[in-house]
Amino acid sequence: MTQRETSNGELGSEPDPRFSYANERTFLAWNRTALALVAAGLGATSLLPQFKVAGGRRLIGVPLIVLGALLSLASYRRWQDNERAMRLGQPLRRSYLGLALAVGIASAAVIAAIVAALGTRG
Amino acid sequence: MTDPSPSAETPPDDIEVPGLAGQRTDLAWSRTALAASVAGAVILRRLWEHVNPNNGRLIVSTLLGVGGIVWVTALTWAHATARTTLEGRRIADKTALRRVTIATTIFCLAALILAILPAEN
Repeated sequence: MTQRETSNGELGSEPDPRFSYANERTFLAWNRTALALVAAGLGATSLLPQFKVAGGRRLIGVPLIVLGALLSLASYRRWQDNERAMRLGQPLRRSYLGLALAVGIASAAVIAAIVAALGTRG
Repeated sequence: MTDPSPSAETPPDDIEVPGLAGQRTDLAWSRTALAASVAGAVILRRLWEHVNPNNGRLIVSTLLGVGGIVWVTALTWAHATARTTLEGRRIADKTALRRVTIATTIFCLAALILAILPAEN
C-alpha cells in the first residue's frame, strides 16, 4: 500500500479493496434495513385495524419510520469512520447500530402489544 | 499421483485482487435498488389510496420524485462501475453513498408525512 492522497482528498493508505467492498456492502445492508422499516411503518399505519387507543397505528408506525431515517444517516457516518480507520491503519470502532435497531424494534413491538391488548374499535 | 496445478485463471495469493467481492457488491446494489423500489411503491400506493387530495399529496409526491431521482443517480453510478472481472469494480466514494443516504432519508420523510396525515375514509 502506498501513502498518497486519496480520491476523497484524505491522507492515508489505500486499503485492500476487499475491505472497502465489505464496508460498502454493510452500508447498503443498513439502508435496505432502513427501507424495510419505512415499508413496515407505513404498513402499520394503513393496514392495521383501528385501535381503541387514539392514534394507535401511528404510535406503532411512526417510530419505525423515524428509526429507518436514523439508521440511514448513522450508516453513512459509520461507513466514513470505517473507511478512515482502514486508510489510517487504525482499529475499527465499535458499532452500536445493531443495538439501536434491536431496541427500536423491540420498543415498537411492546407498543404494538399494549395497543393491541387494549382492543380495537368495533 | 500428480500434484494438482493451479488454474491458469487463478491469481497468485500475493496479489491484492478483490476477486468476486466486487460482484457481491454489485449484487448488494441490486438488492438495495429492489428495496428502494418496494419502499417507493408502498409510499405511492399509500399516497393515492388513503390521502386527501390537498397540499399533503403534492408535498409527498415531490419528495418521492426527488428521492427517486437521487436514487437513480446513485444506482447509475453503481451499474456503470460494475465489472465482471476479478479485478473488481471501482470502489465507491462518499458522493455515491451520500446520495443513497439522502434518497433514503427523503423516502423516510415522505413516509413520515403520510403516516401523520389523516387517512381518507
